[in-house]
Amino acid sequence: MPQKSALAILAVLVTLMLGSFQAMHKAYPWPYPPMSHLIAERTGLQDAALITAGFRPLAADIAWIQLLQYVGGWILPGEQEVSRYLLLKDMTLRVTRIDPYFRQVYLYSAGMLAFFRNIDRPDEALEVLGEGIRTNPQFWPLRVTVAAIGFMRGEEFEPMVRLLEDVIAHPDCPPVTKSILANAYKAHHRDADARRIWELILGDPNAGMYHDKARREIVEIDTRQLLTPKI
Amino acid sequence: MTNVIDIQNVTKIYRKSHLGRTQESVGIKDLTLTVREGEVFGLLGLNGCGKTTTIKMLLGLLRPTQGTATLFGKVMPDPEVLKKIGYLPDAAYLPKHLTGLEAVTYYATLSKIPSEKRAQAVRSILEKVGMTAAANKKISEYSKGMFQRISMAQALVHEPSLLIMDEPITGLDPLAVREMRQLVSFLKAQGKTVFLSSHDISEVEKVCDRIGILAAGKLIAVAEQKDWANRAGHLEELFTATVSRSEGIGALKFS
Amino acid sequence: MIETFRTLIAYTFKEHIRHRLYLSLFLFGFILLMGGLVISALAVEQRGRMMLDLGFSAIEFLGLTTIVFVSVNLVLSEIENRTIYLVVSRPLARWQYIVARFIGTTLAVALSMAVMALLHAVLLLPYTGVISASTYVMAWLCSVAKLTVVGSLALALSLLTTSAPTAMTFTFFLWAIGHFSQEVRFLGEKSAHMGVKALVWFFYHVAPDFSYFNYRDFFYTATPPTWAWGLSLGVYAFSYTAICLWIASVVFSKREF
Repeated sequence: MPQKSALAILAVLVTLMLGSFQAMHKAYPWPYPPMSHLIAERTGLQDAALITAGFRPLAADIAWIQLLQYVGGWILPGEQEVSRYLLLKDMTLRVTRIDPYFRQVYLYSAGMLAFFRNIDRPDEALEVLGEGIRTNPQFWPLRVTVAAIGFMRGEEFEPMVRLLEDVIAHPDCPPVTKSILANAYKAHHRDADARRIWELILGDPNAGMYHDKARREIVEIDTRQLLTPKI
Repeated sequence: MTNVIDIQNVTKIYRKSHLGRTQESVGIKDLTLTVREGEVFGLLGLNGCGKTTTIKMLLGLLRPTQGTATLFGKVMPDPEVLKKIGYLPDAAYLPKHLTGLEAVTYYATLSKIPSEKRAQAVRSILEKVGMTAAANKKISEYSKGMFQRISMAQALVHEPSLLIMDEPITGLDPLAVREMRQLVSFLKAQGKTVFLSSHDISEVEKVCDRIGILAAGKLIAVAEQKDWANRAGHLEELFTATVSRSEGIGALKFS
Repeated sequence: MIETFRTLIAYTFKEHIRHRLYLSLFLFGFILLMGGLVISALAVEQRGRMMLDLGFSAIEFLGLTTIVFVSVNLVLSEIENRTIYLVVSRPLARWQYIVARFIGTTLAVALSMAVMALLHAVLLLPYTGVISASTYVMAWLCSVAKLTVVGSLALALSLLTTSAPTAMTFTFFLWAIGHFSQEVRFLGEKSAHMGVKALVWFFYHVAPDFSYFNYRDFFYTATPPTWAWGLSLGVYAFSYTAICLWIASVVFSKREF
């Protein structure tokens, strides 16, 4: 091939490449935060390595598993108050800084932070939800959970449970939120509502971890109802 | 009669660079050589004298540092000229993952045999080289002799006008050597031109019309058949008189 | 010319499919996929997502290792065992050889990825709602496009460096740089030094931007990419690959044997 033709072809290809590069970025601005936003303590190298290798969602999934292991009782070195899960917020943000669109994580952790009595850190829950709303403005369960926390703080039970009922109706709602609502009903002696929620959990194939608890709770409620004298 | 091969003042210098230092070695120096149409030309020389370098320049695998190598009047490599050339290398460099049939078909296609004639051409050449029965076996399962036959088939499938053979009888048994000789005679009778390299004087003098003697990259002598025909041992005398070892080893001293 | 292309593509395809390494890598990928079944159980309620991500990662990892290894050795091995002699002494242009061999390689790798993707899709069947068929296909196509660019880089580097280990190292380095391009751009924006900005601009535009090929990263975002993005990505992948093949062809055409 004559040299001039070859160079002309190269020039066309380079122009195409640069033009399409610009068009690609213009059509879709990069949706992820820079790596400097990652929670780097302890696990920064692992996360950065996986993201650099092109496996961002996998990095987020591994971080999620490690969050579950933490919640499930795996103790991180140095943590003193095990049952208070002091690193829950940081571990949650670790997942969401890798993948801000991993929506279920916000609901999962915010639910535990706000509604678990042994944790009871609604401010951290709101911080987590706030970050989720910034990156997922269309995911309304986050806003609704914020409102529910507000009502919980104001000890307004009815508005809170109404909002949580909306949240659990969303297909992306994690089972922990359902169990939080069921326990809230139980605490307010609303057995019928609690039973309904536990049955929902029992019918959810993704809530395997909660099925045993759901069965126990349903049996407990049924037993209580049997033993309660009917007037 | 036209010149099929025309090499004019060709020099080939090999350059190797390593850590900023360049080493040069001369492959061929000022080679001028012509081969006529229909001729069988033999290039004789010791190992490392430049025979393979010359052949590679004819095929366009190497480019001359100086001078020109033309085949059929065109500077090499030329795609139209390459259609008319068959190349039989010194060893069978064949793709081992193919069967014999697949390999010959592959090379037949690359040699631009029209599709309507290809299957017949492949069948015919496999029959001629005696490889019809083994054609569907993988080349990796072939014996050395079978390699050689398929190598021959790929060189001849497209009926080239010029056959270039690099040390065609090295490593062959006496029967195979005879068959190779018969092939060259057959091609000559067909009016084809054959250019072969060798260091086997006895075979070269049996088949060639002319020979050239290469030593240390230079063409030292050219002899015609009439010079050695009916003069037993003359070519060997000419060869030993004109060639000295350049490999850096001395002669044997057992006399 | 079409016949020559078809023959070289078929030759290359057979070469890879019949190679023991191809089968080994494929088996390894299969094991990775099945391993995903076990590991994903740890993700509890996000098992479907984990199956999806592990599977995609395994398919891409398999594709990456295969295409880098075979592309780097594509021409170098033919030169080493001298089978190249019987090809370049024939009437075909050297660029035809390079392009056709590359297409054959890409097809072989795409086939292994397609088979793995089918198996992956079967494993995902119990997890309805985790991904739609069209989204899965789009993600798979983007992965193949990415590996096509990587393969062309590997081929060009193998001919430029003439050393398989060096070419592989540089290719994997560019793989990492390509996923790091947004960080590079971010650093360039933060810097006040003109020299740094110029260098960053150069790397940002010249190194391949692999991060944009990860369609899987985008489909949960607030606004998933549009067809305009898809078209630009296709043109980008094509032109980048073509540039690498152009370089490979030029180097190969000057090569002596």
